[in-house]
Amino acid sequence: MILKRMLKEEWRTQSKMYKGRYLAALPIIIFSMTFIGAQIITGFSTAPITDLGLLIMAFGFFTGLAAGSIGFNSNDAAQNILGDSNFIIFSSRTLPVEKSRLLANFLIKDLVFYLGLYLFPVGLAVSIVSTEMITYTAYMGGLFLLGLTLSLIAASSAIRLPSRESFLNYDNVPIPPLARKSVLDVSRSSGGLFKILMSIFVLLGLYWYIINYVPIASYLLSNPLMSFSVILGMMSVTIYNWLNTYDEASDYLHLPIDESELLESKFQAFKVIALIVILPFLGVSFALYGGNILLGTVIAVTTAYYVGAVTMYEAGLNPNERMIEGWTFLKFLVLVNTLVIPLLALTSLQTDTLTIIGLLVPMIVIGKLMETFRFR
Amino acid sequence: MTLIKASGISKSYPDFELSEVDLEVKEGEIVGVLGPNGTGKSTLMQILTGQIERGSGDLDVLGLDPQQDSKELRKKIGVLPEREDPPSFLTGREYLDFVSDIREESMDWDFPEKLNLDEHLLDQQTRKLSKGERQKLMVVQAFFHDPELVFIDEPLINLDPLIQERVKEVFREHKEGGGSMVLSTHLVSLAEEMCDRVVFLRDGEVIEEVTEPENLKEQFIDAEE
Repeated sequence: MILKRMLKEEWRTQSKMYKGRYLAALPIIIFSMTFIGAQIITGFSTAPITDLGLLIMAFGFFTGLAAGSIGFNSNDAAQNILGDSNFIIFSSRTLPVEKSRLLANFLIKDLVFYLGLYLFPVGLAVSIVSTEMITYTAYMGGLFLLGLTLSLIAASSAIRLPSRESFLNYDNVPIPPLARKSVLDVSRSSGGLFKILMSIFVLLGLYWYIINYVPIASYLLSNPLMSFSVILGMMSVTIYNWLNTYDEASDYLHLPIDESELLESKFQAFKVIALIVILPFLGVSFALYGGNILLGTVIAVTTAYYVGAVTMYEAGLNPNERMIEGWTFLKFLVLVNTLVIPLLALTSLQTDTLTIIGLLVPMIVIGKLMETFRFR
Repeated sequence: MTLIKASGISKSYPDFELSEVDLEVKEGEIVGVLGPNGTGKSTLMQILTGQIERGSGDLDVLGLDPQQDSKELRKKIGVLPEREDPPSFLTGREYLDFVSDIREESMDWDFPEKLNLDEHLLDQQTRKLSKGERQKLMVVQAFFHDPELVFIDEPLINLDPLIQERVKEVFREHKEGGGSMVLSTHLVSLAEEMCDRVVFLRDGEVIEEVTEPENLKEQFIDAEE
């Protein structure tokens, strides 16, 4: 009974946030894209069908990890920290029902959504393309559960060391007050800064899998540190989403703060955290693959800046909602891919440094223009 | 000196309308906006403080138009909103430091103590505090910079009787220091005790203005009739 009502509540919430028709169309879009992709792989590439199977298994695993990372949020949600809306999960405060039961139903409800919206359409599409994929679809489901379990274990054990007040506090974060508050929000919410590393780690795991096991992408390995720098820069945009999870403009209406100031502070915080997060990942990659670490750092930082600026420009203070809207996402894709895909291609080939820098310059200029336009 | 001059303030929603509200607040006055729940008090407060745009009407608050100069106005005033908590992940002390940085005014740390916000409570993340303790922090942020005009929306909710008295003491001290307030409440007793004048609001309309706030309950019923 609780689950049914939570599902209804989730549908209404998401429909309100993402507009009902987009949400209803999501499984159809995923099915269509997967179907077309699978047809291309099986019909027009030399990749063996097992590669497609491995790809969807990885998809299942990483989707499970992502779904489990809800565990990072569910604790905050249960404390009603993520906003002042009231949801069934908060019912234990007023009704005779255990918080643990509500939490379990909350997670099952999210599972049903992930399975229904993502995994089922993917499994169906690949199985129609090739019956051999039915087995892999079952593996995908299993790996989804494995990823979910691992992620939930990580969330519940919550490496909270970076979240302590003594580690990061209002006095020792040397950035402007509003940006400082955003950093503290993220570092002290469930999962702490670890959840940012986890988000990027999940995406990098997917990247690593693709370049190693999907032949069509293996050319990225010809210059691994450089192409990795581009990918890392792109993926660090998840930091911007986290920074916008814990507050909204209306929270500051009683203070002399306007929306553009708040937006600027989010972007400032993004730049600081992105830099801190990028460096160790790059260090590991350098240790594994070698290469020009200085150029790699410049590429990663510039890519992160540009992709972050595009996200900030297009999605403002609501990236978690706006990036799911079709039109916004399309604009984001066009703006990002116009410069980042050529950069990825150049860095994957043994292109000279000057040519690469020649592509980084417009990214900085456009990013700066977006900042100027949005913050004025 | 007139601090607020509002005439014909209106705002329409699909299911509610604030209609042709006139209001004037002079220096040193506490003016109450009294009415039942859902009658437009918070909407009026949000318009007066520039948090939402008005549909029509003329408005001057401290020489500024809240709609055009919202941020400038919020620098000058204090606001204690009805539904707002301090940020969950900051400690009470960090929140007050944050507010002090934003307003570029130094914090008087004796002030939280007056409201029984001791060292221990100030060092807790605010999500771990009770609703009443969080409300006390909100009271501090609204008054610490000694603004000449403060807007207060249902200030005593969640406070125990002792702290209610201390908060009222903060209001009185503010008034004695020459400050003014607009106090929105549905509590007749609070309006009677604190206000110099009271405006009755009913279904989005001002139905009466009372210059001697005594026996407000009877006066409100009379006005309704």
